[in-house]
Amino acid sequence: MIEAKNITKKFGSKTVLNDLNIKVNPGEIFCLLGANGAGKTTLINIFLNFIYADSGKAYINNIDIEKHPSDSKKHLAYIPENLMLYPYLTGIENLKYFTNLAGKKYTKEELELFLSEAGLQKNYIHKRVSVFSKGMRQKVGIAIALAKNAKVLLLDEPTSGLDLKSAKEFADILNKLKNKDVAVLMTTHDLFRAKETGTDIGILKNGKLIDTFVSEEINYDILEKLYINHIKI
Amino acid sequence: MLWLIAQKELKEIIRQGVLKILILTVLVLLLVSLVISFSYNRYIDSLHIKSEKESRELWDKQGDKNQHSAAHYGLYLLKPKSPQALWDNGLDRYTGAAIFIEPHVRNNTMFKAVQDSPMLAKWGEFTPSFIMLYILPLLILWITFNIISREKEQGTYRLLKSQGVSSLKWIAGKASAVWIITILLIVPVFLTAGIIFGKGAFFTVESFLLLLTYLLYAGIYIHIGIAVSALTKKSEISIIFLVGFWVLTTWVIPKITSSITQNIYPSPLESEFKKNIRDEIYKNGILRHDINHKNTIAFTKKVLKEYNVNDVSELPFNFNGYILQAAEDTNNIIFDKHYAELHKLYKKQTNVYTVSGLFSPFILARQISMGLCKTDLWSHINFTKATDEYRKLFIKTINEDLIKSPYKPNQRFIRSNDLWESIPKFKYKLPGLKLFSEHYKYVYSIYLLWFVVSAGILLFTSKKIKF
Repeated sequence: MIEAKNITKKFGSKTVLNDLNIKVNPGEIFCLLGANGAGKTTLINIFLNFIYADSGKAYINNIDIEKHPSDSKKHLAYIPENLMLYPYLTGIENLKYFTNLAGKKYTKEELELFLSEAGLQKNYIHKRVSVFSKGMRQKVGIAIALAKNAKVLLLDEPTSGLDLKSAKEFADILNKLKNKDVAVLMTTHDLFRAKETGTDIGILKNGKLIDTFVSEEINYDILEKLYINHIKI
Repeated sequence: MLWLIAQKELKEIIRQGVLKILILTVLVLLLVSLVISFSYNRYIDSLHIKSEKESRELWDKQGDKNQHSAAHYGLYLLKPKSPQALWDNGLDRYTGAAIFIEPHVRNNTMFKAVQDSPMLAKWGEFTPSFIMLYILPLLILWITFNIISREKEQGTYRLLKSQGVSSLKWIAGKASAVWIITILLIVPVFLTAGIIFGKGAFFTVESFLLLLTYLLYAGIYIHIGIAVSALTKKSEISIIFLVGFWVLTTWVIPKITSSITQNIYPSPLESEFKKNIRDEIYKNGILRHDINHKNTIAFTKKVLKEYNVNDVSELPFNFNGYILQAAEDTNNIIFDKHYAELHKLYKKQTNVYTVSGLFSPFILARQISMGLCKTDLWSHINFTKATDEYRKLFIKTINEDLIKSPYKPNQRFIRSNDLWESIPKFKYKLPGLKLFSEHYKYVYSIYLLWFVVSAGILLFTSKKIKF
């Protein structure tokens, strides 16, 4: 579960997050839409403990992330917009390194399975990451989340810059994770992907969650109109 | 976790072509410098043994002569090289390693390598210490300059932090990797060189301290390199800062210190130094070869009065020998005084260097390296003092023999090889750790402080890393 309670964050005089409340339950994919500067990445950074909220509380699996940062990180996986890995290591070596750092130990076969499950082609598993496309690197990121058995997944614009096929593959993997009761918080500009992938959609503007929808209950055209209206105002 | 991070770093470093080539290049340079240094030292050692032996044989077999004439024939005494000199030739090329001993005068060392090969003075020597103190830091800087900043630039740091890795463990892991590479580069070479070139005599406390000194020096660069990489946002800024640090501490500060030292405590010119001694001897000493000199006349009168005789031929001993030894005793006091003042000046000069070591670990490492290799100023002075003690004994033995010889005006007494052979041979043992600790305890303390502070800075930066 991911939960933000009355989070406020200011940078200087600018309020980036304003008394924000969000809750993502296990098996939910919450897609957070918003223009640049709306506060999406700031919220992710707070959940990751990279920055601290001025007020309010953030929880990962009911763990207060400020009080217990290490414990909270045991339950989460994170994939940024442009996931960068170690170019001199292979896909499987990167996966092994990150999972070992998280305290997990797997055999070579198990690691290969995670990468395959994440959709990485078998002939790339033992190739250096320097030859990987962005989509392939994202898949290694997913494999890290799978291997870590993370119950919370934070995604910061993960599909931006991906081709349609890769974005579709990514969405399929997220659905698999959803079915494993993982709570996913995904920030995105991609309305179509949000509608297709998310179970819930929220619109963030000036640090406030101004609207939320259940994905199944709203059609794409209405969502688009609403979003454009909110962005215009 | 520390080993996990270190392992991954090592893997990455080994897989980077440029770094692999650089590490191999430093290794090859180190090995080549060791072979060159070994060949040179072996050549010098064999030359010294041969020269000293020949000089002594010529002395022993010089045949029938008057004692004083024989003394003027003189002897060459040569400073042996320590096993550690393989790593650092230090000041030997400037100070020289041979002294000619003779009556009346305390000579300076001769056969200075820089005089025989002026290019040496201009470019310096290609020694292992040159590689350790100048080149190795550059390799370390190349490995460390982007070791953290690269991860911040490419974004892997965020992913790492999301795994719950603490900055302290992360930095410590990276430092461990660079330490491992450095140790693997230095220690096996050091030990192998000791076994191959040192022939057992190499493995002493001095050698252990020398190895430790080089490792600490590398460590200072490892810590500073990683700390700067952690504190800068861009690798370009990091490399500029670190190269600047290297230039400043290994070139600029030592040169400035040298100039400041020479301004505060100027060394006398050799000609000026000798002239001062000559002038004082002329004023207060006894000039045996100038019988009309006032001090010589006064001394002769004093002896005649003391023994209540009218002529030196009436004295119960050979006056020629007596006045020669009296001249030695009197003039040696003057020599000793001037040399003691000179050494005091050198001490003041080295104190300035020690203080400037607060701003440059290179200055400290250089001094310590020379001190442990016994190629420093204090080892040189130790040798010259030993040769002068021997000179005093050598001349006194000859003069005492002359004193016992019958005195005949206008006739010189002649002695043969048995006397020359009876003079004990010069036996010099290189100074031990006592001399090193006497002159380098503060230098080493500041050096250790550099290491501790650099490690502290590294620890501190782990709390200051920003995204």
